Amino acid sequence: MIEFKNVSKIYKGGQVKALDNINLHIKKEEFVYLVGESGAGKTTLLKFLIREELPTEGDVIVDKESVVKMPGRKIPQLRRKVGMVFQDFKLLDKQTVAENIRFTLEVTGRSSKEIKEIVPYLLEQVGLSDRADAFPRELSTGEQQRVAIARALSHEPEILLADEPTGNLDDENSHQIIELLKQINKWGTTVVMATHDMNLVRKHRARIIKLEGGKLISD
Amino acid sequence: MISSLARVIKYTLKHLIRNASQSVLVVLVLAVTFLIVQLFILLGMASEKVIAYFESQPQVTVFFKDEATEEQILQIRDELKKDKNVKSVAYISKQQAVEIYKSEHQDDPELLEFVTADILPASLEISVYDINYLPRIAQEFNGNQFVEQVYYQPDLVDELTAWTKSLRQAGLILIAIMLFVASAIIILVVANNINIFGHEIEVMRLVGAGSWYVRMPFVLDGIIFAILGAAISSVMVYFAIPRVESFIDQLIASVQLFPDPQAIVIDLFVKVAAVGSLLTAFVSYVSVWKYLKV
Repeated sequence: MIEFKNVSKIYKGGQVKALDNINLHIKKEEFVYLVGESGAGKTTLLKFLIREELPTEGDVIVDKESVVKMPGRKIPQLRRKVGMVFQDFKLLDKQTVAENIRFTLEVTGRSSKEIKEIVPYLLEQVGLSDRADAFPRELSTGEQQRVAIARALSHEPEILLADEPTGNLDDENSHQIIELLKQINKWGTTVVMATHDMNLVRKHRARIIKLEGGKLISD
Repeated sequence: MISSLARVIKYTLKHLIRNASQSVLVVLVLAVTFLIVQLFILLGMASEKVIAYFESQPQVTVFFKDEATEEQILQIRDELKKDKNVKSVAYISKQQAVEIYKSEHQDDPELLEFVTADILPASLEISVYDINYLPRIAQEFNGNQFVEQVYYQPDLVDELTAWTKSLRQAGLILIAIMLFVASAIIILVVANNINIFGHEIEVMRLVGAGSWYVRMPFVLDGIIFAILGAAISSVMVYFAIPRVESFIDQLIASVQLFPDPQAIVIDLFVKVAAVGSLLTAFVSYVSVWKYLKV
């Protein structure tokens, strides 16, 4: 499903090596933790999968297609196949919770009837049915995280990437988010979760890929 | 496609309403810019009429010999009237010439004493639309068997031509500078407005929106801003026209600057809205580009 082949990323004219010769293979419907300290290269690795960034060397394959060689016009399709929960949520401030989810469905060409059914369903799944008309600024951090997850799930992606989804949450909220991601994985979605919280990883066991200083330390 | 377009329009309207203060500000800046452009155009139109008025003042006066009959002179007048370049031809008979002379010298009885219709010649007073045509008219009568003298002031015509040419050139340069400044203001305002939504555009791209879906609301925003701005400035121009007219009227009463103000305002609105919309749509299209790279 996902493959990294000799992937390296170098910033600032060759002075900073964010990723160094990464080789990885993630199977369909797997749940994978990408762990490492801040600056280990976790976010960069995830960004390659939605082509927010490109590697300096190597290739990234998603569903048998090279993301690196992909023409620009195919990027929206890739991003509909790979949902991402961003570390800073990236919610649209001027749109309500429901509109943030609805918008993603609209751009993927879903009919109005489908959208009317899917939005309340997703909000129910993330426990935000009563916050549909609230704006992101009116939500707590945990609630914003849930909206981000609901939005990432809205177009039923085959792969869900979550970048530090528990980074700003307390223990209880963190466990709820992990349970939610596990549930999503059970529905058949491949989940890759980047985190630096080893306690959480130990409690909810799954495949662990460890990065350190841009290098793959263990898998 | 229709459903996508409907969604884009709906999103555009919602976007405008949710960002009402920003939208109002952009519309007002565009309205003021368009108002200045429209006033400059009106000033150009008024100047053109005033220049044309002055250009139409010099005349060629053709004095006829005594042996030329009235019938022959009127025949020449009728021929001249057929010329598209000729604005007017007035026949002054010997008798009318005496009357004009008497009215001009009524305070000097000595000058009036010996003047009769036999002494003064009949004449044609010819005015043209284009001042440059005057020498040609004068030339046509030189050597004519019935003509005693052709009178016109070449120096005055040359000077007036030079003045009006300079005025027109200065007007064109001024309008060009004004259009450049107006375009720069529009580009800055619209591009800055889009920069404010840079984050939103990037998020739209990251969740899988195609370029068309991201770009269209901003292009439509630009068009709506331009149309609203043009409408506001046109209403202001409509109320400004009578004031400009009354001011010019004090200087030159016989020039009617804007015979149909309503038609002029509608014409200006359509042109400014069309050019403004094209410009804002283009600027929006290009400004969104850099955020689409995500």
